[in-house]
Amino acid sequence: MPKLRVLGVVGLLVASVLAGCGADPPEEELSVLASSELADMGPLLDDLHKDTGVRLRMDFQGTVDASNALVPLGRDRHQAAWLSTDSYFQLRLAKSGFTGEPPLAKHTMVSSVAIGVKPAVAQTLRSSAADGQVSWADVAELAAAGKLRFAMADPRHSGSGLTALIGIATAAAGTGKPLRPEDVTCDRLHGLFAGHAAADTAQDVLETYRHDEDGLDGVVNYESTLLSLNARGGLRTPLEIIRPKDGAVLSEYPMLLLDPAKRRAYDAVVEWLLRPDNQRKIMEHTFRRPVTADVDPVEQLRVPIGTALYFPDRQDVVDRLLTYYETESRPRDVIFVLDYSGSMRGASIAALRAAFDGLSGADDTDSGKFARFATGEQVTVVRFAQQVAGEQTVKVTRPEDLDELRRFVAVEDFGEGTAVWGALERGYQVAADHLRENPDRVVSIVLMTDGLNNAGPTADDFLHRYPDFPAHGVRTYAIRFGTAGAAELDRVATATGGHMVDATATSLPTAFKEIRGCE
Amino acid sequence: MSELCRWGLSVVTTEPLLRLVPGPLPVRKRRLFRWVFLPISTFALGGILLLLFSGTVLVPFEGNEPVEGITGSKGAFFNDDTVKRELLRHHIKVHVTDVGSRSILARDFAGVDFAFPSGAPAAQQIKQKAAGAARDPVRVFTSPLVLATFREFAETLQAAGVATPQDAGPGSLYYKLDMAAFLDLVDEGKRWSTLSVQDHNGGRRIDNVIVAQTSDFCSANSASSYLTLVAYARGAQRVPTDVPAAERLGGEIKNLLDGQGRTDDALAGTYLADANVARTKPIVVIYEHQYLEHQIRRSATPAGLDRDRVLLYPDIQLIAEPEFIPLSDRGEALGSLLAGDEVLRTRAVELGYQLNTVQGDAESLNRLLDDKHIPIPPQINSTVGAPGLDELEAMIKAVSPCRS
Repeated sequence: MPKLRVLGVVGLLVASVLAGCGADPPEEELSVLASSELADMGPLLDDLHKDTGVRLRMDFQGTVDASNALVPLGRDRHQAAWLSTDSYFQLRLAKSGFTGEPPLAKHTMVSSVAIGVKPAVAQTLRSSAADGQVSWADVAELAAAGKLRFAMADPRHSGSGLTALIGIATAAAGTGKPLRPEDVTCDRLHGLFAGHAAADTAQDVLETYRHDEDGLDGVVNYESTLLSLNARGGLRTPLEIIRPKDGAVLSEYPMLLLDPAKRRAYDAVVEWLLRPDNQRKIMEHTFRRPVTADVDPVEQLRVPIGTALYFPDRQDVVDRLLTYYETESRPRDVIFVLDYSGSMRGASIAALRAAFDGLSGADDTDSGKFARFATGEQVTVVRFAQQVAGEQTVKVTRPEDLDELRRFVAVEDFGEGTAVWGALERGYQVAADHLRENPDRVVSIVLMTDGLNNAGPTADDFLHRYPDFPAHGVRTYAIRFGTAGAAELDRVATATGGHMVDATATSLPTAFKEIRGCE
Repeated sequence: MSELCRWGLSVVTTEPLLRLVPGPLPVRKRRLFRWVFLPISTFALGGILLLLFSGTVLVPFEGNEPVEGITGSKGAFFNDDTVKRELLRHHIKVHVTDVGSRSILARDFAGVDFAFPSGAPAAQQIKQKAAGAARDPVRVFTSPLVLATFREFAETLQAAGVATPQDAGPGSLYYKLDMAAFLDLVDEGKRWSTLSVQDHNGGRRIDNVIVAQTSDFCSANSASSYLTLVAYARGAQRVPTDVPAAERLGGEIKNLLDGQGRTDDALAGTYLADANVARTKPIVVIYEHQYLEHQIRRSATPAGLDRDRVLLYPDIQLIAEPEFIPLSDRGEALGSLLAGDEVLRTRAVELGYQLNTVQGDAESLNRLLDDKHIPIPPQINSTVGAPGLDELEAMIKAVSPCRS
């Protein structure tokens, strides 16, 4: 059949041209600085190479570390960056004064931060939550009570840690808006972080959890990573994934072009990643959600993730959050210096009791859950009238410790004078003692008074002596109540680096709550 | 490379040549095959191969280089497969860089054949910058600015007396939005929970305050257009006509616009992808064509119309008019094609655009929607014109700190 052979030859020729056309594009390499968790893309990148001829040479780093390495632009030698989020990078870039053409960026997939917990913990969380809808406040409450120990990546290095921190801080601020600098004047997350077992980048967190499955109750990480952890089956108890009702900050995995000369390769890679069939493969393999239309979610992803918690548009907000985070692992020590002069009788002492009840766990609002005393915290109460009348220190390890503290606060033993500044001096002596025991402590003082100073040293005396106190630098936060003088309280508090809160405008419990985390 | 393949394939598959016929052919057919079909087809194939190898088939259009464009969201038009095919038929390959309409201005125009901003203000600035290089712009299609949302949020706004469904039934795709009343909700910092969104979404509380999320005011035409709309609604139903007034008004409306943190440059993409991800942003500002393209595509699938995603039409409307600005001869040739080619025009309508009345039939979109049993969007009679360039810039600056 010579004719057919001819036809065959022609056909083969055409076929080989066409095949060559599809499978043999020019070989090219693209060096990519990538977020650590993208190591899971490995097998898919082989397909990408086969289809496009572009081989991604990936170097992995925590997203925050990578973002820091990329600014100023041009210093890093990678040709592209593939980050869980470029928000931090863009903020850094803007702050660096960069005004040139920003790198092209294309979202490639989406995930958001969630918390995976053991089923029993999930049950506890749901039963303590209003309508069974768990919020970050419920998580914080359980963590502060020492009943939820979790692993979470360090937000100073890792994208999952940073977006988690921003999301949780936004939920704690409770404004329903992006965080503003004034929302981050205090550390509201100490209670939550009482349950934090530190770890580094996203992958390490999973290692931490796998190695200490008995000692830990959960992991804060991307929904995708948690689902993968369950799917791989290495855990004795699969994690139940809770997406707190407050919502989440989205991570959209932008691919950024750093070297404009690699545009062709970049375009090919992005086009490949965004093809619906590849989006589906990515989703099935990594549990990251698609960014293109018409890809039906897999079973595990048919779950609402709530509303966006915003990534702030200001670098200073993020910096401030990270500064507070630095102190999270250090032990807390709060010294309350409380006025027990006669005018505190009746409604006032009732309000003070209510304030301590609230901080001990009775306040069921979201802000109350974030504000409560946390396991590991050391709390001292100094009662004063014309002089210091009593002192008690408890280290919070069990609920009974807080009961003891509340009993001490509730004692109706009032004196006649009001030695505000003498009592505060005593507060600084206690602070000095505590710092001597453990210099790593984060110590602060809360001074509450309802009258004018009429015994002992004056405010000026106090301020004169303050620089010589061994514990100077410890901040005082003043709560003004009753007929106390606002100007003087504010002057002293500000001189120590703290500030005054006016409880006459709100209530004592609100004022105590407001000042929590500032200390 | 993939273009070459697609083109090559489409040529070959239209010929029966590659169908290898199993078994012996009848004698008559064999003769026909040997003396007529085979020589012709071999010749044709040889020619094709030659052309493929020389590359001339692809872009005889001044060498092998694609026509380079810098665009806003309209760059997507050139990435559509039908558009690509039609352009290749005319030996044109287009490569676009979507940087956001307002950021086009900051780019270097060297080696760029056209700019394609999504709206008139950016176009005007680009033409000023390009001066001599800019040729007559081509205005092919338009699309109104819309607020895209999901059913439960539209129903929540309806219950609050701010939105009215266009169709009486439960499945209306379109709602008219009382813009003044909506902005009052935003101004008061009303939360979705306060408006009882949980009555419409199966009981889930949403404590975020209500805001329409936009792309970056500094770079996106859709965002600056929404800003214009808000300025008009809050500025006694007119846009400011001098810079001090614009600065003042910008300061006044800032809180209605900026409560959204870092903005998303791919809002329409996010809105149309995974529904659970999309719902993280309850209301987003996009163009109507982006939504209609989705519905036109969906209407052709077994799933049918997407009745989950719905549009809010502000009762004052801003219609964006993309301008194709040629910056070279090649750009100009592409522009002429865009203006005159029937296939491209038809495709634009299928992608949800309204044709410009000068270039085509403004009714063609409605006819297409009707054909596909997609409800026709409401007619909004009150439209807002763009403010002067200086006034717009002043308002943007008052609302958002731009990089440059």
